[in-house]
Amino acid sequence: MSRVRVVARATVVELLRRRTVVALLFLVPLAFYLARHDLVGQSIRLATVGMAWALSTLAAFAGLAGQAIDPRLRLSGFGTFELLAGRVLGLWCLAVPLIAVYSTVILVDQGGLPRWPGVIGGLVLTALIAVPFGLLVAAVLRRPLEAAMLLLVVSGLQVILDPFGLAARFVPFWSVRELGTWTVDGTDGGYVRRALLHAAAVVVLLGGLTVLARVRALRRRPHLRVLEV
Amino acid sequence: MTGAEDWLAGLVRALHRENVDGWHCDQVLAEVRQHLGESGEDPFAAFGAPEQYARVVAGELAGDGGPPSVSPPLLAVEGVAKSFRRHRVLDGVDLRVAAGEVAAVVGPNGAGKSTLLRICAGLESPDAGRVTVHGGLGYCPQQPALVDLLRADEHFDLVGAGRGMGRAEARRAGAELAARLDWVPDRRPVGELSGGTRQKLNVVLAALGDPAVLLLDEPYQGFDGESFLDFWEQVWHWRDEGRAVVVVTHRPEQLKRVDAVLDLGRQRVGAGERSR
Repeated sequence: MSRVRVVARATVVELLRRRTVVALLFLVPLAFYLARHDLVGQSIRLATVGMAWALSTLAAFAGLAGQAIDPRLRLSGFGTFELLAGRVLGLWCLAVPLIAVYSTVILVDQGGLPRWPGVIGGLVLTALIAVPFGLLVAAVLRRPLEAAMLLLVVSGLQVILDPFGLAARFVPFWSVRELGTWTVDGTDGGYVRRALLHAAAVVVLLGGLTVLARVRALRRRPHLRVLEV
Repeated sequence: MTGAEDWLAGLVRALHRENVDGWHCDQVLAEVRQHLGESGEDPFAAFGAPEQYARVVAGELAGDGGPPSVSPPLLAVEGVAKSFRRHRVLDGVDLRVAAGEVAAVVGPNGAGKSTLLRICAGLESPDAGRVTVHGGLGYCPQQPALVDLLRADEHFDLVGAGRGMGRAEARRAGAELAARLDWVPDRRPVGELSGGTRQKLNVVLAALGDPAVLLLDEPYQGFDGESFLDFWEQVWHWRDEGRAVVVVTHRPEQLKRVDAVLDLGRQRVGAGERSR
């Protein structure tokens, strides 16, 4: 088993043992979805907001839990990138059933959506962004309360900000909203293109910053020379 | 052989008083028994009084008067200095630990013992100085760095993978090391384990994969008396295997048996302080 898979497996196992967290992971998006069930577009958008918050918080706490043992794992021979890649892989594995459940719930509940792939795409983009976003917040803030509050602020902004304003584009999940507009309102393909470009840029940026933060935290200090025997 | 058994019982007590216990004590007893069995001699005639013989054994084990090791060090700490907010904690610390040596780091609270080990492990940067390690490095932090919801064997998987071990190999090696500390890992998440048992896991993870250099920061916290003795027995075992072991300790009992003592209260290690 490769080192990345070992870390991914440990991440999944550890999070699955948090039974209440797993339950909330599935219930938070549902609560958001049902809150505006009367409006198709709003209910789908809020479901993705709920999922973004739940998943990014999960990722942040997984990152924080990992930070305790990461120096030991690094010392045992893991590369920083292997640790991060394993954690990302594990979290994305946990996101798969979430995407499957909510795709099914929304598509069945809102039967006959002509642009249904947009629903699945929006949920996939949410998961792709939420994981590196949560890990970055954990890597930078390094404390659970601060991390949870920042994630809450970002989720709130995502709901409050005018999607056509410039500020909205600086929120990590703007792409999901853009894709949602295409899905529900039947806008042109430019929305999809912008969504995919924004999502790709955000994932690369968040991932890159997370790698930088963790590489710095787990760097081998220059005073130490380890000579292989 | 009642007289011989009484003499052996007296020897055990005398060895314990001389801080010779566990594996070494068993070895001495086995050798004495074998000699007495083969020769049929009276133990007093062969070895003298138990107390006298125990002192001889303890002296041999401690290597009284022997020269310090001249073999190349597996761990070399040179001129390490560290300050926190203008308060100098470490000031030009030197330490060399060769294969088959145990060094104890002692000193009062705040003397920089844990900081020195973190610097040796590369987890913290010194203001000056350097550290050279030959071979793998195992580090046992003062506070166990564990994932509370994973089991002990899942920790073996993780750390073992880093050291290039397969899952079965890591679990077998972890279980063997645990057994030497008189612990059988079960299927409980480590967050449910007692403080002493978590500390045993902490030690096992540091030693997993047989690193050449072991850095142990007060590793016996929470151990009961028997576990404490098992731990030190394991330290001597690692020494016999040719590892370089550094132990941060507040406990004076074992200092006479280590090869070097670094007193950070005085921040120097001298040949005169070498007990072996």
